[in-house]
Amino acid sequence: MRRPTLFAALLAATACTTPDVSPGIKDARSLLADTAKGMRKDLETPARAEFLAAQNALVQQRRPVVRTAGPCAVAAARIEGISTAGCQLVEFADPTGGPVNASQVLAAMDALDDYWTVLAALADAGSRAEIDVLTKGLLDGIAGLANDQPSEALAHLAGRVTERRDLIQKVAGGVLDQHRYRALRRAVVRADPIIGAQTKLIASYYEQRSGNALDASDALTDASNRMEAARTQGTPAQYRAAIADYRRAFAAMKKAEARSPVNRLFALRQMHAALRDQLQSPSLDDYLTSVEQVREIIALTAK
Amino acid sequence: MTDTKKTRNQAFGQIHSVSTSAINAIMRLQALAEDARVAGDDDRSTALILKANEISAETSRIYRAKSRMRARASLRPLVGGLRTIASDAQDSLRQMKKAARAIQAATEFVGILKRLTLLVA
Repeated sequence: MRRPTLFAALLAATACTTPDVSPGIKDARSLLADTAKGMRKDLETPARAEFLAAQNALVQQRRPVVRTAGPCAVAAARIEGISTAGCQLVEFADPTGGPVNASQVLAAMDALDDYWTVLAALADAGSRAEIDVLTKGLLDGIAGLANDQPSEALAHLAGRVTERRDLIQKVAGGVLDQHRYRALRRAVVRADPIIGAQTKLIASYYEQRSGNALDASDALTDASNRMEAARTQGTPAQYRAAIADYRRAFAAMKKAEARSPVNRLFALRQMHAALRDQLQSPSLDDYLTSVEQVREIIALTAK
Repeated sequence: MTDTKKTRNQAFGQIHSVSTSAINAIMRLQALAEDARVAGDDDRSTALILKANEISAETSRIYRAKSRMRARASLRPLVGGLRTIASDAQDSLRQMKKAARAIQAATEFVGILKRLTLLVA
């Protein structure tokens, strides 16, 4: 098989195997934003208390608590014509030490937000379209060199580019897609166990707080046992009271679950695992291998 | 099949997976309890529910102990790890944008080359 035909065959075989991960990432970001909003509202007060406790510890130890950093001396800045916009207040109290607390959970949600934002940017198919447009522009420019009585060398270059134009355009985009998917896969595979561990730890934090869903679930189990006992051994009045108790315990459990972000965090974790599976699929491996093979063939052809 | 029976069957038929996890055992017992109730055997139905409750309580006890131990750990190393990964991914994104700018620069260079050849011709 001639090389140009082999290129076309390889590219045709791989053209449909790149998974579009953008919709999954978009859904995950939407869930994360919604979950984080509720968590920030819920944890604002305990996080503030943790900060004040950390500040108080520094005060007791007579250690620095707060200072400015950057160009805060207005007169000196004006003399040099420097903006004072960079002046900031730096707090030395660190409430994120020790076992998991509200401040750590909020920091974890910020880190998760940054992480998913970068994934979304990497997965954005717009960047492939952008490369296609730019490559087309370059190829048009080179092909156009042949039009104005150029040197023999430029005419030869223009001729070769025109001959392989479609292929070059596909490969340029394909090579960048390869880079993009490798970067995505690398990030997601590395992050997956971290996100799993993080989710469990945040769940544990919520389970130590009062009014948590675990307590409500245990209360429901107890109410169920009492109701079944009342059915077989109690009077009708006792049975009716136990039924009412059971209904109240069920409502309390549903309310506690609705308040808790844990179910949503586990759903987010599942979405990340699904993304990992998508990016580790054998068909994506084939795609990445095929693009490597195309690069090798191009290198051979160029000689 | 009536809608109520169908909905009830769906509710009691939710097996999480084919694994032998506690949640599957509990839900299986609930489904069997429902079968017994429908068949008119209320005592057997109650016995199965009480068994499900026993597993639920025991699982909760074990889970709480693990949760209390886990809550002694810090999120900080995990947060640090995630930030490093995000930063590396950001570098890859910057490289892609750089590639786009390189193609742009090459296009401009070809334009310059074209003007030069016209001057020389």
